[in-house]
Amino acid sequence: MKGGIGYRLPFALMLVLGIFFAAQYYIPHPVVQGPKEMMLQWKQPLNAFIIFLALGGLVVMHARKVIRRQKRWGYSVVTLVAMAAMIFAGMVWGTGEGTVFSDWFKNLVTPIEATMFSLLAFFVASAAFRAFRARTTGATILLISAGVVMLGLIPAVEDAIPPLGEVANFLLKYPNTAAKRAIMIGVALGAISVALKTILGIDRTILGRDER
Amino acid sequence: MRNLLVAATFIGLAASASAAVAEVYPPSNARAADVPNDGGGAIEVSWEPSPSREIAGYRLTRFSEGAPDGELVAELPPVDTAFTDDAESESPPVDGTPYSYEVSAISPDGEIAGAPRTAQVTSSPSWIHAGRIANLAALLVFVAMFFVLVYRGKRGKPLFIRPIDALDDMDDAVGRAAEMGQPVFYAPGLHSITQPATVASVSLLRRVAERSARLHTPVKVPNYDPLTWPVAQEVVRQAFDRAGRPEEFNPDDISYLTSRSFTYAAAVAGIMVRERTASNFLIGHFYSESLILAETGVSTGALQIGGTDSVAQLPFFITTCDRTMIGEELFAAAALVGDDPVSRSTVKAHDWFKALIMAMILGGAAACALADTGILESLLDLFGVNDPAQAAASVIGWVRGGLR
Repeated sequence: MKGGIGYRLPFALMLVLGIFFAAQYYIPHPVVQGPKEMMLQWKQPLNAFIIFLALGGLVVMHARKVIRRQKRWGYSVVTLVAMAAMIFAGMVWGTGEGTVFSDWFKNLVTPIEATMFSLLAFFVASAAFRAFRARTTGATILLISAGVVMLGLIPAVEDAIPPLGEVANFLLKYPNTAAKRAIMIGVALGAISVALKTILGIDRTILGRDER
Repeated sequence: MRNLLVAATFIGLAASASAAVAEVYPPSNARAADVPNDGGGAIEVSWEPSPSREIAGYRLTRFSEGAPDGELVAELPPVDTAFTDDAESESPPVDGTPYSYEVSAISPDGEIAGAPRTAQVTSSPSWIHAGRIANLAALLVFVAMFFVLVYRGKRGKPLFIRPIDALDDMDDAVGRAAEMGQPVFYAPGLHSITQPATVASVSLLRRVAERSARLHTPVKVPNYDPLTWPVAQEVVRQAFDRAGRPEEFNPDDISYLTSRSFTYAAAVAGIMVRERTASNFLIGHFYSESLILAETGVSTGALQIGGTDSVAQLPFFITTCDRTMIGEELFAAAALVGDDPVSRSTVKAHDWFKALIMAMILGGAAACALADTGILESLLDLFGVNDPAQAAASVIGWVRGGLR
């Protein structure tokens, strides 16, 4: 039943807590800050519970793939074995410096992540190559201004052609900053709007509900 | 013998020199004040540095009715000229208790020279953060606009809402995937569902999932945040129910992957390449992994729609996606997605407030230009205002008084 307390309670809580957390930004008094800190501490056990929930879902999904021999189930075996090994190592020998867990993390996870990160250098080059094609007027302006900024910020070029450095700095300081601030103002308004809609129960996405 | 005499002379000179250096003078103008806009229990003490050529540091002593002989609060390096006595001190100040402070300079050989004690000061908590009053005023104006427009929306008054092209393109992208017989991919960003960009993204996911369900097309939604995952799963399940295809909903398609950004990027890139997703939606808040996701999508030939509130990642999406929702467009699209008149009317509030900000920027720029040319002063003289700074302070005081 839509009018029941079980239905209304989450919206009532969102309304009260939404107003409270908006107000606490403006009221530094301990009468308000004390409960705020207390409620933020409640997040810690909740977060731990959510992680367990998500890991449980991950294990069930991969276990199902393995049991049913679904397409590419071998990857699921690798995931489950790696997860079990890390959990076992952490629980038996601890997670501090010099432990098996720490060694595996440093020598397996960190290099894999560093590899992914270093791919960015190549992707930036390929994306820039695609973006800097003078197909339209806008793309031509982008190409010219990007060229000026890139060249103008190289110390040797700046020394050789001082006006280029000045133009590059002007582009960064005025048009670029103005555009960024305009986007940030828009984002802030959008975020406040989403927050208000959520607090007032106009938007119920946060509860996974759809009652159009 | 002569060498010994020379050495003794040098030692004597050095000793007298060090005695001269060790002479210590107290710091001056020591003052204490309650820290403003805080929760109380904090007093800031500041002073002018000691004129001594060399000192070892400063010693701060606090006096109160309970400690008339003083209690040591801190010993500070010679470069410091201020200290906040707060909760980090060994015995923090108690609100309502009057305290006075003595700042002493310490010479390298331990000689102490204290400045006169400060006047008594009492710490107290603030009920309002004075530095955030302008922010509060702006928020209240926006909230007022929001309520007016929601009221108009509820009454069914027609409002012109600017079109968001990306919304139509979203439907086309899903249609493309259906025609190709390949899945749709949707990444809701790396923030939690408690963040506005993720809420907006999940609203758009509902539309994508519903459209996909109607066209018998699976939707892959790998999640970075464990709290977003169950919400996304529920939203997609409801979308399949609404489309009348609950049996086609596969909960494994909406999975939690990992909460490490580059591991997530590796996993998502793998999904895009293996599943050959035909249309990719990268909508939400992203960090530097955004380019890895979007470039992988380009390499697989997918049609991509991006949208983010992260200013730093926008250039990457604009470069690599076929359509990008820039900043506020993401929130506006989420509000327009449901065709709900109340939700739609909130987009109008964005526009009204942006118009107000533009007017203020233009007004401020015009005032600055007029001030530079001297026209502003002439205008102020015309209205009998001789001191523009004092007039501005009066206006600010009037506004603050009104807000109180």
